[in-house]
Amino acid sequence: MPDDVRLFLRKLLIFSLPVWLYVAVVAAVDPYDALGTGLVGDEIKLQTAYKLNYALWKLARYRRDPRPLILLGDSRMMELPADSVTARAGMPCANLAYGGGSLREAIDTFWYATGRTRLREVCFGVGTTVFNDSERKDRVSEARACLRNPLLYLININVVRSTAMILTALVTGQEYHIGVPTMTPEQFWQHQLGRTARAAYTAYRYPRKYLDELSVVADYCRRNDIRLTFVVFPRHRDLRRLAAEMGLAEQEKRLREDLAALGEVFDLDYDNAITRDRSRFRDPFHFKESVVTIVLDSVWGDDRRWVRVVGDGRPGGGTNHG
Amino acid sequence: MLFNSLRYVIFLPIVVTLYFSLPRRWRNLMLLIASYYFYMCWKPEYIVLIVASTVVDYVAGLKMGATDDRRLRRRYLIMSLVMNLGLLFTFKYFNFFNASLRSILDHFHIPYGFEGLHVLLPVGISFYTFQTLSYTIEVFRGHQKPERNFLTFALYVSFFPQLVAGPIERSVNLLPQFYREHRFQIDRAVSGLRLIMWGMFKKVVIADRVAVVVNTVYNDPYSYHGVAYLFATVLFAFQIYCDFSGYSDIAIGSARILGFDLMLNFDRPYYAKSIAEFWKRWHISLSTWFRDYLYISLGGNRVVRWRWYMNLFLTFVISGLWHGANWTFVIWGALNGFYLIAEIVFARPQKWLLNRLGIEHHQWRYKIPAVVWTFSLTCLAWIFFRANTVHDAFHIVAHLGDGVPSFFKSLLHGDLAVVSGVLKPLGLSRMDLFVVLAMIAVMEAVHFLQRDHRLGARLNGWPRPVRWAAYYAVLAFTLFFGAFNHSQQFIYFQF
Repeated sequence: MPDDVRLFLRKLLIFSLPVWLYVAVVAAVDPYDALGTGLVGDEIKLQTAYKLNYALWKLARYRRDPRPLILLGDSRMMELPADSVTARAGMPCANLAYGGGSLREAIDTFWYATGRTRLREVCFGVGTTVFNDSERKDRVSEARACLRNPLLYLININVVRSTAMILTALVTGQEYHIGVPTMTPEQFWQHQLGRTARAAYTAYRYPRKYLDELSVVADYCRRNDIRLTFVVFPRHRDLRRLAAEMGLAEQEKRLREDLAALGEVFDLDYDNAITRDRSRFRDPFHFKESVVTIVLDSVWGDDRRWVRVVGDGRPGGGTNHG
Repeated sequence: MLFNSLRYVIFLPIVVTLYFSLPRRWRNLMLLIASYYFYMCWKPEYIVLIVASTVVDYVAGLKMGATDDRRLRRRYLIMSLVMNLGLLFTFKYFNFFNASLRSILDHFHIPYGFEGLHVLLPVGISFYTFQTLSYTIEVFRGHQKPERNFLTFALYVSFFPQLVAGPIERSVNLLPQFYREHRFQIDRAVSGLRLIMWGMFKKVVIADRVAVVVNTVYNDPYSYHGVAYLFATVLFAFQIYCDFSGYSDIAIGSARILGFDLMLNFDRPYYAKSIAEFWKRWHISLSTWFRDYLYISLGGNRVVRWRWYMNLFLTFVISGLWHGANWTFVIWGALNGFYLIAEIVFARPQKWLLNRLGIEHHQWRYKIPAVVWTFSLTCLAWIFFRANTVHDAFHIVAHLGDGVPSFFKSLLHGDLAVVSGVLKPLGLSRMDLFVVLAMIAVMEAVHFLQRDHRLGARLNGWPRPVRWAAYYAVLAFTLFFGAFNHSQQFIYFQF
């Protein structure tokens, strides 16, 4: 081998040493447990990696332990404990909802799950912010790519960030509180109403495209005997009022009707004692534990007191008995 | 095979290793096999087109070289033109002209049943046909001796770094390089790798990230309005630059490692102060091709004024058509031709005005507004380049200003809900937006440092730790912020 080549290869090897070191560190931490090489426990990972990318975290686990009942949606659906659903539904449940989730992500997750196991029930959490053509967030295709290709996992920005945070936490003992608001509850309430909700509702577009994709999902469910349900989560009336002020009431009604043509719709988002009671909410979007029990009993139990059932209760029904 | 694929990351080192390990007489054969393999990774059967083009132009070159009879030489040139332009017409333009003819006949209620050809556009056909045409034209003009070695000529046509998207090399530059003995040189390898890394950065960090917004808006333009159009169009200007110049950088870098020098294809085009200057900096290998073989053949500027304008206009219209079989590209070319003619017409009054104002050579008062003005004109033209249909393009142009003042007013008042309401449907998170804008700023900073074309030399002068830190930074940004999971094909592959 010529001297020049030998010298170049030596330089290249030295140059690549940090890269190999990085690979070794990420493999040892494996923040999302996608490689199966991690040496770090879940506690610190839940504080960091989980919060940075819910989709990658949950899909990596679902890949190892697929379940026939899945929950899809955003942070409100995340509130439903999978164990409680399992107990009520009588079959193992996986909560595959992601904070700030989009319908794009929910639909992609559904197809991912169908590729891992035979599904028996799917429940979509419905909200105006999720069922919205403007919401293009897509962490699922990124997560799926990472799970398919370890090289993409190694260079994923959330893997890098999580690894750095986990190492910092291990060395310094630092705790992370990602996603925990630093405002007072009242300030946060107003922030969610004035900033978050307004931005989402300003950009709202009726999800025509996504409903077409959902009808394909519904067809698949019908053919494969999978129960398909939609839960319209309760919002506090401040938020319902804002949506109405921004001219979304008609579109929200239409959405319920369109969904009723695809599956069972459980509507808790109307003027009732829950939506009027501020003590049942952490902020205008997110309900507290007492509402979680109501949702669970409504969808997987016999208690329909709070639920306005849209449609005839059969997939593809569509008649409003509200 | 895509440059931004793992396959190429494996392919290139293997080719380099084989090339420098083999005895000199086997090297070109190895490169030819590698180049054909590179092309056949896409659609193996279309290699036949390259081989056909190679054989015809090889024979045409030899025949032209064997005779002094100008008429006979012209006949062989025509044979080459018919072969290459025929291939282009069949695979690229036939369906376009057929559809245009059908719509005209439909308009007059004349039945026309022919649906068109069911063929796939061969990747890189516009590039390699133009490259071989340049050879036969040069041989015809007597500027180039006919290449007698078929293997060398075949390699000139299919040299993998520039086979599918250029730079469109001239035979006088590339052919002699296949006869030189290339030794592995560390400096060349380092500089080649540096260029590849920079090209990858532009492609996967900027172009592919920006593509999300551009595709969202341009594939569904009637769902958006002024601010989205404006934003997507400016981003498209960067997308196409980063995509194409990124490709060229990787091509030039790959060739450099092997010991070959390919021509510069982009020279910081958005720093141009006029459209004429823009075309001296943008896709240089194609611009000079059209200048040398079409514009000058039409008479260039050595004709009466109106013919000169016509020559310019025609050259740009054909250049537009070269980019794609769609009226959008024709309008894009025509618009650029119109800009250029307008610049010539208004050159004198402009000079007079600048002299009167005394700002012609003033950095801030003239150059920056001139750069901004040129960039704006270019962006306006890009709308036609990117739009899927002429109707879409005119809709976007007509509504480009809608809602823009109120958007900027909201921005000034810090009304982030409105801003986020506009940006959210574009498929861009705040993080993405930050990364894209920051990376464009980094790229432009590098362009600024590169203005004297001595950045490479300056880098070599830096202490190794600093230099390597810069390399690691670009590498880290490329890997961690690159859009690898939804990588886009290079835009110019479709041409």
